Amino acid sequence: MARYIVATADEIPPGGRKIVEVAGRSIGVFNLGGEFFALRNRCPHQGGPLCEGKTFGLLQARVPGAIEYSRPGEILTCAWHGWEFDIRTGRSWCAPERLRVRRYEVSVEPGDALAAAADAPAPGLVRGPYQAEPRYLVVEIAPERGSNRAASGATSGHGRGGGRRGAFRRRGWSAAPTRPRPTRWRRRAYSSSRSSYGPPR
Amino acid sequence: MQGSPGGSGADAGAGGLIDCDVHNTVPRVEALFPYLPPHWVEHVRQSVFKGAGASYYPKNAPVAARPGSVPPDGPAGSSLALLREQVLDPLGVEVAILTCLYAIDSLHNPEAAAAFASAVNDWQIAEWLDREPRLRASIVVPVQLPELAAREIDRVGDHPGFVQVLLPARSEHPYGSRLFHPLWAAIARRGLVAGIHFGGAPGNPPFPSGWPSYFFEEYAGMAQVFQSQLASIVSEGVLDLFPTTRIALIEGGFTWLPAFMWRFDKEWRNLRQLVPWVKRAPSAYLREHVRLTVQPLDAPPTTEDLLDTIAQLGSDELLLFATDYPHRHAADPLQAFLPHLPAALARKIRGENARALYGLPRPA
Ligand code: FES
Repeated sequence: MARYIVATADEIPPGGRKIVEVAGRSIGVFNLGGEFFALRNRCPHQGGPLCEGKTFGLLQARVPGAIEYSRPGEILTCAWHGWEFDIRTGRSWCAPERLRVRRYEVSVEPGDALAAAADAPAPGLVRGPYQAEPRYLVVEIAPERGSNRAASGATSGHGRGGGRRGAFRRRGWSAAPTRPRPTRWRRRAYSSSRSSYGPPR
Repeated sequence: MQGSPGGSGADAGAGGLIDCDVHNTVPRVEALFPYLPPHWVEHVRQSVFKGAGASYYPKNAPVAARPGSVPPDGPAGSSLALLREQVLDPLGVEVAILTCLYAIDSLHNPEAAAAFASAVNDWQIAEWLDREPRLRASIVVPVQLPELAAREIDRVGDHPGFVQVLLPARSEHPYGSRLFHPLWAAIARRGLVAGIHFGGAPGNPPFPSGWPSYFFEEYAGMAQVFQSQLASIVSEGVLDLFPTTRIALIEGGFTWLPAFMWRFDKEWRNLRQLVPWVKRAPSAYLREHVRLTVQPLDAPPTTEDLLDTIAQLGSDELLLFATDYPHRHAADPLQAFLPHLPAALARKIRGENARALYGLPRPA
């Protein structure tokens, strides 16, 4: 697990975001009311720049017109086709089990702690210079399978995705809903007083 | 598609045959006199008003009446004896669902619309349901006046012969509109099926782009009307507000449904914030709540095309056998379609799907 410093905490105000290049990946870092979340800036639908999309609140309703609005700013819509993603979980609204965007752990760490860790180097932590005062946002990224690029620096300039591209390609359309199992009529819809009006004997 | 072809012809032993679209026609306005209030009888006698038209099919169009279905004393579809002789007996029909196309929706006088709807329903009870136990019927309602339609559904909806409310596919407003909530509430309250049937005479054009010039255009283009009704019903939350709703699309074809579901699902993923009560992909609502009759069949060029299309529906529970009597689409409706299908699917289409939809009892 490599750790990358991507910003100072006060660079991204509540409701704000910063898109960074880390280890060959484009990643969006979001501030939701003081909590930080990081998502891959690559939409699982067709690879669009998800993290450049607009954010909205969550809209739900049990029946027509009874709109419940909650979680302002926590739903990210993809810049390409507008699919919704929950910034906290990375899950899509349309198919939360199948279709999610990769999310990364973000921690907020004081500069002096990072400097101390860099002296006794923690694996993967990218070296300073750090200032003691500001707090930094640190994103944790697992090394990619079959690649050591993850350890190669905070701004590797390899463009987006690299070796991941194939994997996302493959997910692309197959991540769209597969054919649902045939649904059955609700039992209660069957219950009928019509049995007295039976078929001919 | 798995399994071997084998949906057999008129073999009643393969599971009771249920015909989901048989038209019973009011032969002439006088037939309704016993069921109309006296002042309407007088009005019809004294004025040029003779009630509503009886069919959306032009008279003498080749599809309008199969040979021999016109009795000596009335239009095609007005004779129970001929219905027995041409459909119920030879095909071994266990149950046939009557769909009376008396065009109440063309009557702009609300009292007339309500009175004639009640008369047609009482006529259906007396002349059809009470006389033939193999029949079930559809309640005719003044759909343009949802409150009055609901009142009529409440009046006769518990009669065991009525299993459905007939809604013309063409309507003054799309059926998902909130104007229709009283109608959907009544249908749900009485546990009936909403049967959306080809045609309608609401006064506005059958195409969103305006008036077609030829019957051919209207007839071939009616699938888009069915699509717009489904788009409306799902998008405007009818199925969320009335979750027991069951819908039969009658005479609308079905080959357009897979493509429509693809489009509908796709747009839901980016526009669902506008209709947050639509909680699942629209196709999931459709597969749960909507069924479709198979006649008239859109006749894809090859049997393989037909089977592909049926597979794309994503469920073997959607299709319902229908003859559409007395309209003529196939010389032998049983042989036209079912023998090409795997046996299990054919069995469902012959009767099992309709039995579930209409809550019909299992054969003894
Ligand atoms: S690429 Fe993101 S919604 Fe299509």
